Amino acid sequence: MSNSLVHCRKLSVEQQGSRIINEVNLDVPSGQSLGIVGANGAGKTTLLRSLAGLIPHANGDIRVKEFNPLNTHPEILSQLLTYLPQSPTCAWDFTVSDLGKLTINSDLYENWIKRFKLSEKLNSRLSQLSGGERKSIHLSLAFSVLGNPNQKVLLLDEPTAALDHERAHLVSVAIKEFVDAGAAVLCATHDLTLAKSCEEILVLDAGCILKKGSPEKILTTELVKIIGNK
Amino acid sequence: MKLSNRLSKVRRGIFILFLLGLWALALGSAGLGWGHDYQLLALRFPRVIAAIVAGFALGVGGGTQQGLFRNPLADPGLTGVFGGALLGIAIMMAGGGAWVWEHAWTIPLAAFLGAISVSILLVIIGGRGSTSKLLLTGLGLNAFAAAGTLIVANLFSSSRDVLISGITGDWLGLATFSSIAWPIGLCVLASLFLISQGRSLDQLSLGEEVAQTRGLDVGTIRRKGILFTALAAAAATCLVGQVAFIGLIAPHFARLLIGPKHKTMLLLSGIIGAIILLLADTLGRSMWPQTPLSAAAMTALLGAPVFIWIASHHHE
Repeated sequence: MSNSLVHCRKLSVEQQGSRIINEVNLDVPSGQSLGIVGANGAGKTTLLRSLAGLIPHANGDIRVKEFNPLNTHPEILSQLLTYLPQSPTCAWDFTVSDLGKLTINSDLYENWIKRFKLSEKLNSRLSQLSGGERKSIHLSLAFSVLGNPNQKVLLLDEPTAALDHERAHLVSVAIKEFVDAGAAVLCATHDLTLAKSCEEILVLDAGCILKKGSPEKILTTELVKIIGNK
Repeated sequence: MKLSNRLSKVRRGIFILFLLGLWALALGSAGLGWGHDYQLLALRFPRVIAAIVAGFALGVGGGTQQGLFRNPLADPGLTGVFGGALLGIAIMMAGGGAWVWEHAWTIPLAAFLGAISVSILLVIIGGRGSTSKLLLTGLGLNAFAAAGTLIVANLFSSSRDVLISGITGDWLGLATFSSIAWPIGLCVLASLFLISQGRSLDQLSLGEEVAQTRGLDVGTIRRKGILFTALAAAAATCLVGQVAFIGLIAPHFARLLIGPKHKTMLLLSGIIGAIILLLADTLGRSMWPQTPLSAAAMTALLGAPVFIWIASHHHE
């Protein structure tokens, strides 16, 4: 096995008789960002959830550092990776500052809140925020839980969905900062601006890797059309 | 909201409950008073204590179930857990006969086995679906358990009257110190344990997947929560019988008053549950002294409109 932070071989996931992920091999080393693109239903979310250890019936060899996320205690795994789902929700109407108490790094959380320009909303309840502001709160939580990002993995599913241009740009900046600090960032997205800001792009099609390489090589006009039109 | 503000509201709740307790001890079908040599006080004391502890356990259990299912409409009464507890008691009474009455611990044990069976079925069938799936599953399980209890009551005439009064939530009137000791101990144990799980329930608010990747052993917290909620509901059923809505209303008001942080919310929910049940029981037995109304009926009078209000304001 290489010194990758994220490593998987022959990763396959079947759901209700159909194969969502088909024998995917992947290595993402420390200090690299990988944008995962593909049409709806290509398997982007399932791939991220498998790597986070959230799909118990995923087949193949999956490693985050030296740990198999499927049989590692959540407390240990939480020190290695953070996962942001596509549509994060909160069941109850917490205030923005109370949510920060759910993470052990509340100072980091408040710093991210500040960077997302939400400091004045610390005492607001989630129901008083817009969809984009709520998404920024969940991003702040995800960005702050890991503490020092060196040798850590961030799995982000559509992190810029619902965000305005300024906040979406901040997500690109944050990913670059995490990568510079030694993290591996995997980011499923339809936002091609965000994908282009990643160091590598992986194109998924029907659960298989169609292409992988630098954004300049991968994001040809033809491919963008395929991704968009499928 | 700051912790000091939340605790101040909890203290106010305890004070209101204390005053209400004094009023409930003094009030009865004979009007206000303690009676000659405090006879009435001694008679009412176990009933008042049972109502307070059962209401507390119902408030805490309801808040926990809502936290576990991330659903403001979850309530052990509506999801069939009380029905299961009562069915367990019915089967034990029918099978054990006189032996059951000689061994006070058998009733809470049977109630717990019934409650946990329904809880497990609820999780398997409806636990991961929508609100409507959860409630419909609970409705079905409740109806099934109620039918089972009625069948047992019908077949075994010796326990029929007791079971019928259990179904109508009218057991507080039977409270004696010896009959309430076990259930009270279990209610207190289960409630304290559930309150201690507040931080885990807070993390679960973000969804099972996020909570798991943030270090929460979701499977373990769900199992513990379901086990101890069933214990709280079962022990409360032994004290009151079947009473719905408290587990629904109390957490709702607690969240409105101090926000959703579970540790203090569950504590206040328990206090509000105790206030509601004690108020319902005291009003039910004093307003119509000749034909007292059960605590469950009074609670439903208050709870049903609130349930409809919450349901109409809740969006999936």
